[in-house]
This record gives sequence, structure tokens and C-alpha cells, in this order.
Amino acid sequence: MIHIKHVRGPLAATILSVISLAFAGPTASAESDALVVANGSQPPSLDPHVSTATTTNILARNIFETLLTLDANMQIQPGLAESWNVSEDGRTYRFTLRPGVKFHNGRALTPQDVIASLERWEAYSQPGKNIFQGATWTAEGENTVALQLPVPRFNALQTLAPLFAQSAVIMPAEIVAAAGDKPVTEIVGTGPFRLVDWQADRMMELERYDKYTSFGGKQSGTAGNRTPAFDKLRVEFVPDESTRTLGLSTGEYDLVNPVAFDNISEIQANESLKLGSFPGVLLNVGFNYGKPGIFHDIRARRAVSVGVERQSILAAAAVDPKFFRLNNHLMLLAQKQWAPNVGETEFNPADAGKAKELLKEAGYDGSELTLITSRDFAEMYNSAIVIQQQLQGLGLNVKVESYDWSTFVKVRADKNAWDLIIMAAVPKADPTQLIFLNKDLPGGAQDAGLEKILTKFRNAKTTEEAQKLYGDLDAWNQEYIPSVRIGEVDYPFAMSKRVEGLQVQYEPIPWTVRLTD
Amino acid sequence: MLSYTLRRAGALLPVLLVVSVIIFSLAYLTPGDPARTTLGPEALEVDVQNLRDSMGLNDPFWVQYFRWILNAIHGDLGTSYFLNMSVAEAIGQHFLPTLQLAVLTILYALVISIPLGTLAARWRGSIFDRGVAGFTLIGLTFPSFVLSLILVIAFSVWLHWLPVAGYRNPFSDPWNGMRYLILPALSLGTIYAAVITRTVRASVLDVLKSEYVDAARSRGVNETRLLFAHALRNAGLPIITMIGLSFASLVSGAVVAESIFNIPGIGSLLVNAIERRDYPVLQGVVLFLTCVYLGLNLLVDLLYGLIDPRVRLSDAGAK
Repeated sequence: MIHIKHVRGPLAATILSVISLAFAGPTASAESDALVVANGSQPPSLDPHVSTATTTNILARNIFETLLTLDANMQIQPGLAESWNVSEDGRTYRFTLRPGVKFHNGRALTPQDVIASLERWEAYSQPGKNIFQGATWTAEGENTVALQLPVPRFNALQTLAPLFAQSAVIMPAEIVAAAGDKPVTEIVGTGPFRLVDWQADRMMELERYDKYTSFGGKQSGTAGNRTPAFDKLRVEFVPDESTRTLGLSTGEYDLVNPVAFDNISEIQANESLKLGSFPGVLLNVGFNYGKPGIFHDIRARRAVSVGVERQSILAAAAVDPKFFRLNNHLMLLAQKQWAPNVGETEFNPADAGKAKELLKEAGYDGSELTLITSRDFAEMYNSAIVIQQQLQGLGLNVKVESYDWSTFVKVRADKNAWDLIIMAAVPKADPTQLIFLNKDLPGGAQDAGLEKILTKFRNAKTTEEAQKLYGDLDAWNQEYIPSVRIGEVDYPFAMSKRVEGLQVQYEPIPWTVRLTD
Repeated sequence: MLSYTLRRAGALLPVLLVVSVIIFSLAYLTPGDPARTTLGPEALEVDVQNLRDSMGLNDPFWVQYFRWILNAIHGDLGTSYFLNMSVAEAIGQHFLPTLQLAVLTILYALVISIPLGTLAARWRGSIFDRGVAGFTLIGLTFPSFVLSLILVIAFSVWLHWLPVAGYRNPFSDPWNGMRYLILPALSLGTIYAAVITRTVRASVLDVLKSEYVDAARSRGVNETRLLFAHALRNAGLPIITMIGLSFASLVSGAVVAESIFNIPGIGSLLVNAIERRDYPVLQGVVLFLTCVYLGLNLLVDLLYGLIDPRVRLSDAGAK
């Protein structure tokens, strides 16, 4: 089997985008009352309770809703719960449901739906298991749901609001009961759009729900008025990135997500197109703690940290400085609630001399080190190549092994197969969920000090307490260097000029769009 | 004829059996893990192992193989790990676009190649013949994805006549259903047109040398009729073979064209199944395509008899 990515790869993309964008003119093939989105990936299901895929979560939020929402400043706002209160001991929450909300099948939302959905989400989703283990949900009267936590959790409300993946969405109780741990097959939500048609590998068609009960107030992030200003949302699944860009330039698609970094300058040169972006991944170089080797020595890890030059690694990954930035802390710079209060260490000294010295002290014997990465994500592969060159420059004998995504994940699970790894970690709501701090992941750092901080963190009663512990965690991270932080990379998307008002929360929010013609 | 057909069909069974073992081993030996792919990059080892258990992936090879083949014989190819539907359903959904594209491509190729090949044979050595030779050379050597891109730029980007990529169901939307397939059919069809033109020219040339053509000509048969009715028909066997082979290779998935034009056909299903480690779909599609391929070969063999009575398909002739 020919690997198709290599056949059509860069040559095709370049020819297409250069010529097409140079000559593209206006067309009016996109429907006037429909937003047509070209998506690079398609979801395995539309059930964020059981599927960890972010595509699932982001598409599902058009259809399903959560008890709480987040405004443009990431502050918690009402959702299906009109109001809520917290007991003094921080263990009991009461949510008052919004009146008049109807599912897409016409049935009214009841506390039983909320309870059934959240119990299932608690049992099967990662955030549910992490934060709500042992929680009980009960109905109080016609429109109130009570949540009883075994211990106070500072992030309980945050986790019930829309997440990057596996949001706590509400579905009808009978559908949830029928599905169990398998993805639901009947897609019935309360959201602004209802699912009309879904053809695997092709497209998904959604229609504005005419009995939609909006959350009221000004539209902001996923909060406020969510009634769409257009009738139809069609999502086409277009895996080929040059086809996506080309379709945007001819007017077939209104919004293309994501755009390949290579196509950015062409899109910028085209006056009828606009660019946007959202936080994509935290880029790290990870070490394999499951395999004996040089990187068990802190001096070797520090050598990598002081020796690499991060700007050029990020430039290789994301091309335009608009889409990457240095960040030596655990969370995204945009996640202001986790602003670091530890001092900036010398983050990017790019001191090759010091690095070589440290490696000598650590007793590196020149043995071969394997760096694994995946070609399926351009930022992972491109950064790996630059990192390899830089590490070779420091005297480390590094070879790169690149795999397709499925093989990459499998190789990563084999503790003896690699020494270094490119980690592209998706952002998380709080630092305890970051994958590069997870001791159970293959090769994860095992350190009693880390576990102590994480346990305290998870049991923090208030956000203030958690923020203080974040300082400890950040300090530990900079001292221990479990993995070498490189920076953060944004994913760009592009749209035609007729798309206005689009807001982003994790990814573009379709219902915020106004179409102009 | 009937017993010949049955015997030929029966002979395919061992082939299918061998192919089934090969397909299954290939999927089994492919690196990567469907459980891990399903659960996502951040899944923990314990969850992966639990899912592998429930998927039956931890059973020995032969247990897995016999479970699969026995179900397949009963018509159950399993359920996709990724698509939330049975493999048969997935094949059904993805085969229609491929079949449409194949039919359209072959029709276009025939419209081009039959007259070109026949006339090139008639006027052998002429400028026209050399022109046709040039066309077939370009058609055979030009990479199809480059041709696809040129067509897209000309017809979609410059002229805005046709869509860049995508697919519409021809039953619910016949006009657009057609429009979306024109460019892929043109880009694929040109290659097949080149191949078939060469075959047509060579076969017609052979026939034109034979005595009965001279005889017909001397009887005063009209030259056009001679060429298209007599010569072409007698040159049919190699042409039918070539068309059959072309059609079979098109039906088994024009992977590159389907991917450039974003057509949700059987080729993209196969490539996606490999990338997602969707073993049931991967195995089901390859088995299905093997059956299609063998079936088309059988059909071509049987067509020989209809076109050329000299090919005897009787019991005696087959021995």
C-alpha cells in the first residue's frame, strides 16, 4: 500500500495553494443560509462521555449542552442550570434547571436526565473519574439537582462547564441507559442545532433547532444567547489539507479547520480570506523513565534543557511567530488563573557549552538514543528534526524514528523502544491532568515529591489553595525537569470574509457566526 | 456452459481461503493497536488491556482467525471499531461512490479510446497515428495526481465550472452528483483511455492484416462498417480483457483520486481503516475487493464466449 500522505504531500500542496490562491476569484457556491465547515478530522462518535477525541467534543457541543458554560473570559456562567449554590463545607452543590428546555425529540428536560447523564459521564470519562469519583446526584423536586461530593473539590464547577474534551453533556435518560459504555447511537440533545444527517467519511448536516431555549444575556464564549443566526450547519470531512484550502478559496467552504502551517502565507495574501487560531498543543521533549539510561541523571536532563534553542524548534513546528510562543510553565499563557508566581528561571539560554559540560559530568558514553515522533502531526515531526540536529550538536547521538499515529502510540507503550519523545499535549483545565506529569503513562516520571504535590492539589478545597499549590508544582517541574518544555503552538483556521463575529473557545464556535453576503 | 461457470466459480474458493489467511495475518502483524487508537493518546495501560480483552484481541491468532472467517462465511464481517456501524454497512455506503466513479471513468475512457485506437490502426504511420501515440505516451506517464491538480485549477479555480472536491448522492441530487464526479473521472479516465487506446490499436491492426478483411473489402463493404463492425468486433478479446482489468482496478479503489477529490469511496475507506487500525473494516474491505476482482475476472472469461464463438466454454473445450 502506498502511503498516501507521501504521494500527495508537500508538492501537491504547494502547487495547488500557490497557483490557486494567485488566480482565485469570487464564487457564490456556498449556500446563503448555511455555514459550510471543512473539518480535517472526523469524530469516531458524537458521545463525549465515552470518546476522548476532541473532535467529538467540539462537534457535539453544537448538539448537546452542559449545566454550566464559560464566557469569553473563561468565567463560569449559567447553562442548562439557571442558577446554583454551594454549601459551606464545599461538598454539596444545588443546581436549578432552566425552565422550558426541550430535547430535540420534543420531550422536556428533567432532573432525571441530568442525573443519568452525569452518572454515566462520571463512570466513563477521564475528568468524571478524576474529579467526581464517589459523587452522588439526586433530584430535589421538579427542577433541582443536588450533587454530593465525598470531599470538596475546587474544580467541581469548572469541570461541569465545557471542556476541551469529554464535556459533561446532558442527554435523555432513556438513551443514556440504552447505551451503557458504548457510544450513544441516537443523537438527541438540547443544543442550538439538531443532527439531521451524518455520513461517515463524508459530512454531517445540522439544522437550527426551532424550539431552542437560549441561555439569555449577551453572547460570550459558550455562554449567553446561543441562538444561531443561520439555518444550517454543514460539516464536511476533508482530510486533505490542500483540498481544504482550495475549497475555501473557491468559496465552497466558509470555514476551514485546521489550516496547514504551510498554507498560511498564501491565505494571508488573499484579500477575501481571514485567519484565526486557537491554542493547540504544549510541546515538550519527554524522557523515558521506564528504561535505564542517561536521562535518569538530572544533569543530563538539564543539559537538554539548557542546550536546546527553543525559538528555532517552534519556528520549525509552527512557521509563523503568531502561532507559537515560548512558555516554560505548565499551563498555557492564556490560562490566566494558573499564572505562575515562581520566578522565571533562565528558560532559553541555548548554552551549548554548559550543556556539554553537564553531559560530561553525567558520564554520557556516546551510546545511541532514539527519539520517537509522528509524521501525522506536522508540528511533532518538524520539531523532532530540529531537536535531533540540536542534540547532535551537543554531542548526543540521537536518531529519529517517525511513525504513523497508531504505531507511534504503540511504540510509546514499549518501554525499551525509545529514549526521547516529542510530546504534543492538549491543554487541560487544571495541571493535575497534564499528561507529562502522569506517572502511569508509558515512560512517565516516578517521583514521590511530585505525587505529594499532586495529591494535595487534587484535594484542594478552594481555587486560591490550588493556585498556591500550582506554584509548588511549577517549582518542582523546573527543578526536576520531568520533560523539557519547549513552548506552545496554536492551530490556525481560516474563513471567508462572509463569516463574521466568530468566537473561539478551545476551537471556533459555529453558532456565534453571522453570515454576510 | 453452466457447469463450466460453476466449476470456474468453485475453483475460486481455495483462492479466497488463502487470501483470507493472508489478509488476516497482515492485519494481525501490522504495528499499532486498535484499542489504543480507540481510547486516544492519553489512555492508561490498564484501560487499553481491558479494552483489548473485550475486543478479543488478546486471544491467540488462530482463535481470532477462525472466529472471523466463520462469521464471514455466515455473512457477518463484524463491526467497525471506529464508524459505529457494521462492516457490511460501511462497505455498502462507500462502494456506491467508487462504483459510480468507475463506471463514469470507463465510459469516458471508451468514448476516447475506441475511435482513437481504431482510426490510428486504420491510418497506421500517419500523422494522426503519431498524434495518438503521443497522447497515449503522455497519458501513461503523466502522474494522475498532477493531472488532477491541473484539472482542478483549470475548471474549479479559474473557470468556476465545477466543484473542487466532495461528493453528493446522485439519487437525492442527480445534477450535483454528476458535477462532483466529472473532474475525478476525467483525471482517472485519461490514463485508462491511454491504456485502452493502445490495446485497441494493436488488436485492430492484427485483424486488419487478416484475409477476411481483404475479402470483405473486395466484396465492397463500406470502409467505416468494415473498420467498426468487422475489425473491431473481431479484435474484441484483448480489448474486453483490458476493460475488465481496468474496471476491476478502478472498483478496488482509486485511492489517490478519491483522496484528492475527497470522494468517500472504498479506497479512502481502506486507507482510513489502515490509519485507524480498524481491523474488521480493513479485513472486510480486502476480502470484499478480492471477491469483486475474482468475480470480474470470471465475468470477462465468460464474455469471451459470447463475443468469440471460437473460444469454447463447453466441458470438452475447457479440458
